[in-house]
Amino acid sequence: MSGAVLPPPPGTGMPTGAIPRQEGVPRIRPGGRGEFLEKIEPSEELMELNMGPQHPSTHGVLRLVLSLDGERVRACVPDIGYLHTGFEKSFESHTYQQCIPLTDRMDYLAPPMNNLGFALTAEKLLGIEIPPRGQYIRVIVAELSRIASHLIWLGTHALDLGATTVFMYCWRERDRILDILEWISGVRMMTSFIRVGGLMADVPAEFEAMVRDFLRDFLLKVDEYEGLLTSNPIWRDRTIGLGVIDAASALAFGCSGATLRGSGVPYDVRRAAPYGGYEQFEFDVPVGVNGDVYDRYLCRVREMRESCRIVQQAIDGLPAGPVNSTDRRVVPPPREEIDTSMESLILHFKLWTEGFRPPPGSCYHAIESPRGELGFFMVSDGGNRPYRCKVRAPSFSNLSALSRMVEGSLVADAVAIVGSIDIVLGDVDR
Amino acid sequence: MRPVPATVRPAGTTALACLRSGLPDAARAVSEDHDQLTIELEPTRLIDAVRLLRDDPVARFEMPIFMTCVDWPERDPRFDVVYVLRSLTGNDVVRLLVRADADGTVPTLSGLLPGMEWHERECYDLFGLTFEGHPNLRRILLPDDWEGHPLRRDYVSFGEPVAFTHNLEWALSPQDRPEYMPGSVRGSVERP
Amino acid sequence: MGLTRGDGPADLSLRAPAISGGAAGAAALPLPAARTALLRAQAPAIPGVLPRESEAVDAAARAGVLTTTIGKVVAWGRYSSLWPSLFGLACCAIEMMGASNSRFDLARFGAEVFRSSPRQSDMMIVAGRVSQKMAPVLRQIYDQMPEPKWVISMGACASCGGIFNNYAIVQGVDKVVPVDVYIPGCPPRPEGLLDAVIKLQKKIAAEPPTSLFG
Repeated sequence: MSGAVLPPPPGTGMPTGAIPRQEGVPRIRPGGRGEFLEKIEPSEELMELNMGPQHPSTHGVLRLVLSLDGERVRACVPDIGYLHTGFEKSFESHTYQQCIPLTDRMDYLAPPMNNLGFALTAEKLLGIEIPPRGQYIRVIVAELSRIASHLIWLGTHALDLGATTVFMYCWRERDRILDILEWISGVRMMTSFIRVGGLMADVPAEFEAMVRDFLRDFLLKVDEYEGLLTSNPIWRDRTIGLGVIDAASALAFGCSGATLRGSGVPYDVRRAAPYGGYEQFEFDVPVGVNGDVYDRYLCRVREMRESCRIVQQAIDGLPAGPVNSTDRRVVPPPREEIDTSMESLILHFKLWTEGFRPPPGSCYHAIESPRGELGFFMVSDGGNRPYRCKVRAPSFSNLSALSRMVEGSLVADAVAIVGSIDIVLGDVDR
Repeated sequence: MRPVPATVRPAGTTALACLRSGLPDAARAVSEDHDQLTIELEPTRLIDAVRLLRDDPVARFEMPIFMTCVDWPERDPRFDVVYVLRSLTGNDVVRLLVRADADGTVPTLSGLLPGMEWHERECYDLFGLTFEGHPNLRRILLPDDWEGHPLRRDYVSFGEPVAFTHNLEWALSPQDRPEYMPGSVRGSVERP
Repeated sequence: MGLTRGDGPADLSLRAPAISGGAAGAAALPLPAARTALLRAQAPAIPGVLPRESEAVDAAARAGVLTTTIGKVVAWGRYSSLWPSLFGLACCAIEMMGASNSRFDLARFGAEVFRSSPRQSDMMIVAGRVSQKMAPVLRQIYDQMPEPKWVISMGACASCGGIFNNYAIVQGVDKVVPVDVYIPGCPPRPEGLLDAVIKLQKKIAAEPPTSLFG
């Protein structure tokens, strides 16, 4: 736009060119949060508005009770429990291996992650190790599911803020990941592929080609999404400076994942307490600066790129060998052995009827899920079922910080902020 | 990215050292399991211990990971209240344990670590444990008028019996079912 | 896949007006390709018109007249533009979103616009497990939908409680709302949801015309 003001074309009366700045009229700065609203005196009357539990933008059945002063949110109280499924009680009545399909359904955007967390904790209780090939495949499946989860986050977050195209594009990539998961496990989403003691089975021969095929195109796709959003003035206007939480508060609320990293705290469980083979891979952990929605967006998009790096390294260095632990108390013997060895037959029978019995004890193990620190605290009393299995859900803690982030912003911004903390209600409510 | 300090083994060692030097009588017992320490505290010293762990410049256990309960119904007191805190600067995780019985109360940590507020509400909801001084002790996951605390070991959790040949009444539509259906009562009290 | 004009569940039957004379009852039918060519040759002036069964019907179509029943037309309108109400609860909601995306494309069955407000929708896809706390909300949303409305129960948890036979989950949403189509699966594939929508369309097409008036 040039500085000159052109006269209106004949017959229209509408000005063209730059709109002149008038004296005394407050003008909303790009990137500003409607600061002229600040000049309006806050009134004593607050309106209570119920957002959810059925709402297009709450990413599940979340209810936010907003106290509004005009359009400004004075208080925001999340009301959860609309998806409470009683997972922890169900774990107590299923054997360890039977719990694996249950864990799929908790954080349902990245089911293999929940499987991985549960399996690693149970393996710690049992004291068994997984061979390298099994570990590498677990890492590949986990990182692919991280990418899939971030794609859903990006698609739905962008959809809430109006960018429908990104929603369509993200699902296009996600369907490719689900094709890979379906090829190895038979199921698109709830794979139950990662089990206690190893994997469901070794991956088929086409797995490597499918993963390499996916990786070849995916980074270009991430460039496409970033090209649509990162420098987009509308996107930046709607996300920069919004939903700010400082590092100390985020820590005090127990936030983790990109919600914490966006505020500048470089905490990633894969770095702090590496598990399952992650210590061998080289990857960066993107960290934000301001703790606003935009920084959390950048963190997650860059995490997608880093996940690609990890998968590339893992698929390049995928060793040969068995995928399951050789401990016969946990992993069933191969089919051929059952026909010849009586002991194998008995072990197989006992595994299927009773399951394995970890020694009494308790253990906490955490993994880095797409949402943050997903931890399992498992207590065993020596039986074949977990005595108590507490799931430390990252979304639960991240959501408790929401009221701090939303207060003071506009109602429309509440939508953006809820999207930026990337909650999954299955994880929050369990 | 600045390098992360090495993970402390066994987990919780820095916390134990901090407590031993700062509040020597707070820890009642220490056990180690799978390379992780569990520090059992006196219930009256819980707040002081957590404040010390949080504010100590070396330990800095500022991040609440979670808190929960483990129910041992044959034991008295029945609940093991478990708190897990993490220190990012020291790269350590500590598990603190306090014993409580069903009617007793545990002091709240939500004043020290706001992240514990929702976890304590969840404990109240699912176990019935009350927290003294909690700003908002209401049910969080279950409806407000729910009776009972599901995660207690004596709470019978069921949805609906699957209709096999021995309990075919469950396959009937609601109007045709007999008045009392076995297994139709939720909770631990079987009412006729 | 998809409904084309020929194999739709309620193809608007074109009743030919009375034919005088022997055009219809004439000699043996020629081979189909030759017949199509013959009919096309007879109606070259209207491009894009499918060949009709007879010359007289063809003439009627050229005049812009079709005959059918009100019930069939209303049913066609209803099933061709089912607007789902956004009721995605859990994992099945992700597959529902997948069904509305580019690979599976629910939009070609008319069910593109997922209305957030139940007052503007006519189909509720209950996608996911319904907890005890959510059940009254489900009923309220269902009551807020205007007639005619249909419910698809997507997934095992919505149909019967699924793998969660415990205190927290309602064992089937048909305890709360009347259901028209059940989809098994955990979660069902997006093609399963498409199949359910098609089945619902067939069900709507078969509904008697008295349902028009409540």
